[in-house]
Formats: sequence, structure tokens, C-alpha cells
Amino acid sequence: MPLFALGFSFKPVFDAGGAVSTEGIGVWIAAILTLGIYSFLYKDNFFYKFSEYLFVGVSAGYTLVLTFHKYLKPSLIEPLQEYSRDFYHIITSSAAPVVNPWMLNWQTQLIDNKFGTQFHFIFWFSLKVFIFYIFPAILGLMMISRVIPNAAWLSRFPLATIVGYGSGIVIVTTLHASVLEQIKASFVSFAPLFHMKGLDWSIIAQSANDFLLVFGLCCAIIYFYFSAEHKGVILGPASHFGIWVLMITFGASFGYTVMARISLLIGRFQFLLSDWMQMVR
Amino acid sequence: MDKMALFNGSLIVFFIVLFVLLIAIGQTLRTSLFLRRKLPLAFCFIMGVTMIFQFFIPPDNTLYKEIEDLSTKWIQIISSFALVIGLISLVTMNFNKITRKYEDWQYSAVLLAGFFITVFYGLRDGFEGVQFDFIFNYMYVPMQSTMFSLLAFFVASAAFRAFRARSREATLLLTAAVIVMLGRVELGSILWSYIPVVSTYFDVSDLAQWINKVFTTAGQRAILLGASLGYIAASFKILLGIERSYFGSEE
Repeated sequence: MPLFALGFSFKPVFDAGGAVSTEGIGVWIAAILTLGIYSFLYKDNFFYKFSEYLFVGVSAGYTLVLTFHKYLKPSLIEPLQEYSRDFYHIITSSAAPVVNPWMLNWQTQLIDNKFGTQFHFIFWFSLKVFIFYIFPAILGLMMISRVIPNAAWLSRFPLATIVGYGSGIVIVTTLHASVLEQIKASFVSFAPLFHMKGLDWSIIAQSANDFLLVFGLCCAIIYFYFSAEHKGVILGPASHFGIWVLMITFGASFGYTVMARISLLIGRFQFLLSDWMQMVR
Repeated sequence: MDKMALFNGSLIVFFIVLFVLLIAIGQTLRTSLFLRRKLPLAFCFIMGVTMIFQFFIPPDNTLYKEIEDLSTKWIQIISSFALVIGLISLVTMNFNKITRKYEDWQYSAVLLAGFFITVFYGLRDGFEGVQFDFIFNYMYVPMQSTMFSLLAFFVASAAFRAFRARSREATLLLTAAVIVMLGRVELGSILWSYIPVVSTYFDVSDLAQWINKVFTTAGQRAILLGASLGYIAASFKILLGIERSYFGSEE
């Protein structure tokens, strides 16, 4: 089958039976929105603005749905439903099965009279539900209080919690993964160079690369060292080589970014030519 | 009435009452310096120290799992509510634009329509819903990838204007970018083969890999080390209450 068909036929909106095809309509909408966004390359216009605003609205809606189903529902709503149902079954001595393992454990203990009374159970139940679910929900509601000027200061509590959590995590994980592990990875061994028998070019090349990496790293760090002027026999040339290393890094990063965007562009053109225009088979 | 529906209704009423109560407390106690400044700082400190403490507990210990479970749940719940703030702002801003008939208000209507339709089908049917699936596959995904791919044109245009080999450093930047770009595609290898002498000794793809392995690693590691140390210092300042800009402009 040829890669390019002669001519093209747009994706039909109706299927073979004459009924409206969801896929056909979807492809047409996606194609129109894609072209609408690309129309910005000519100039800002109605089609671009329409697609742009629609994208913002749909993205915001999608983020809300995602947050609700992935985080809020499994972390707050469902556990509260489960705990409340089990709590009701236990205190009313209902025959209905208890779902939560923690609650099941309590129910067994209550039935066997092994440990604790119903009062103990109610106390620990309330404490657990409060700490795990009600308290963070209160903090969440405090966050929403930001929209009310006189009570906006309440949002400092949830913000402080998130910032404190982030800072605590950053201190240990960054120190471990981004500082200590990176320094550890920079201590390369040149031992194979001294133990090789004869001229082994692969070992020589590897050692040269390792040396260049460590030397480049040291020079780049020297460039970021601002407590002394970059002059003299060591600091001057070293910081200059550090700039070269950083320039190559930025150039390579730029190259990778361009190629990633180009691959997305190719993907969109493939969609337009293949799925919509049915030109490329 | 279904017991679950009754429970969900009670839960909503409970949270509304809680919110009203919180607002009333917030308005009454807004002058208290202890509540406004010191207690949030204590929250921040305790949370941070707990997370640091967790790092020193063996991962198979029950306490480690308890702290991880609790902190993850808290952050997930609080962050979910934080998102609501952003969405309230987005909706009210665009709603005001429509009611006051500001310039381009029609597009705000498109934004709100897109938002509410997605939210309606998403919350009603979940990810398995046909309508939500349609919105995701034929609107969200194509528009997102097109928006990102649009950058390819701007990057190319910016590169054309900025990439001039005016100095040694600019030449290095340009050369590294060109080699990496050529090394990533088949066409690049074909073009490279036309360069005399150099192409006989070096393969462009190997050269791109070498740049990545040696220079990019060295440069990125230097940046990462510097940024991480700064990040850690800033985190310590936050935990100790020296840095309080997240409180807002009043502080």
C-alpha cells in the first residue's frame, strides 16, 4: 500500500450505516481546534482566541475532575463514608459486614470483650477520624476562607502546613539525592587506567571522558563561586572554562527542547494528514 | 431515601456549617497576633521537623508508614481545596468580564462553558463516562499537544534571530545545539555525511551522545548542586520563620 494516497478524503461524519459517528465528529472537532490554534502563526484572530479560551476552560475543568476523583474522593470522601457506615454497624450491633480492617479489628475486640469498652472504641474512632480526615478538611476550608477578606488570615494555617511539609521534604531529599548522590557520582575512579595491560583505547577514552566531566564540573562550580574575583592563575581560566561547559550544556538542552517540540508538531501533522484528511495511510 | 445519599447530604451540610463557623471565628479573632503569626509558624516548624524526623526512621517501621500515610493524606486534602481557590478566581473573573461586558467577553463565555461542561460530565460519570472521554480525547489532548507544538515555531524563530556566532561562547552554544539536533534524526546523519573530513572520523549521533554524557552532565550537575544548596538554605529559613513571604503582603 502506498504511503501517500493520491488525493485525500476527509474523515466521514457518518458511518457506513448512515448513523452519526462519534469518532468522525471528534476527529473533525480536534482538527478544527488544531487549525484554530495554528492560525495564531498568521496573527491573533477569532479562531485562535476561541480555541485558546476553550482550552483554558477544559483544562481547568479536567484538573478539577482529576483532583476530585484521584485525591479528594479516595482520601476524604470515601474513607469518611466507609468509617461512618462501619461505625453505625458496630454501635447498633448490626449484622451487616464491616469493611474497614481497622474497624473490623475493633468489632472483633468488642465482641470478644478482649480489650476496651464501647466508650474506648468511640473515643479512638473519633480521634482517628478527626486526625486523618476532619482536621485536614478544616485546614482545606481555611484555605477557601482566603476569598473572604476579614477571614483571609486563616489560610495561613494550611499554607504553613504545605510549606512546612515541602521544606522538610526538600531538606532531606534534596540533600540526599541532589547534593550527596551527585557528589558521590562525581568521584570517578581512574584505577583501570593504571591497571591496564598495554594500550586499551576504550579504557583511555573512558578515563578521558571521566576526567573531562569532573574537570568541567569543578570549573562550572568555580564560575558560580562569587566570593572571590575570577582572576589569577587558577580562578580566571577555570571560571572561563566553566562558562564554556555551561554554554555547551545550554546549547544541548536547547537542542533537546527543540526536538521534543518538533516531535509534537510531527504528531499533530500526522493527525491532520492521516486521521482527518486520510491522506497518509 | 437512599442511606448513602442521606449521608452525602449530611456531609455537605456538615462542611458548610464548619466553613461558616470558621469564617465567624476568623472574623472575631483576626486581631490576635498569636493566632495570625506565631501559631502558623509553629504549624510550619512542626510539619517540617516531622518530615525530617521521618527520614531517619527505617522504611519498614510502622511509625514511618503512619507518618507517610498521614502526611500524604493531609497534603492531598489541603491541595485539593487549594485548587478550588484558583478555580473560584478563574470563574469569578470571567463571570465579571461577561456581566460587565468587557472587551472580548464572548470568549470568557466559551471558557466558562468549556469548564462547566467538563466538570459536569467528569463529576457525574467519572473517567469512564462517554462524554468526558470525548472531551478528553478530541478536545483536551489535541489542544494541549498543539499548544506545546506551537512553541517549535517560536523557538525556531528565536533561534534564527539569536544564534549568531558573535563570540567564542555563542559559537559553542550554537555548535552544541546544532550537533544535538542533527544527532537526534536520520536526516541529520545524512546532512552530516556531506561535511568533509569531520564526518569521516565522527558520527553525529555519537557526538551528540558524547556531549550529553560529558558536558551536559557536568554543567547540569553544577547547576543542580548550586540550586539544591540554595533550596536547602531557603527551606531552613522557612522552617525557622525567617522567611515568611508566603503569609502575604501584610508580613
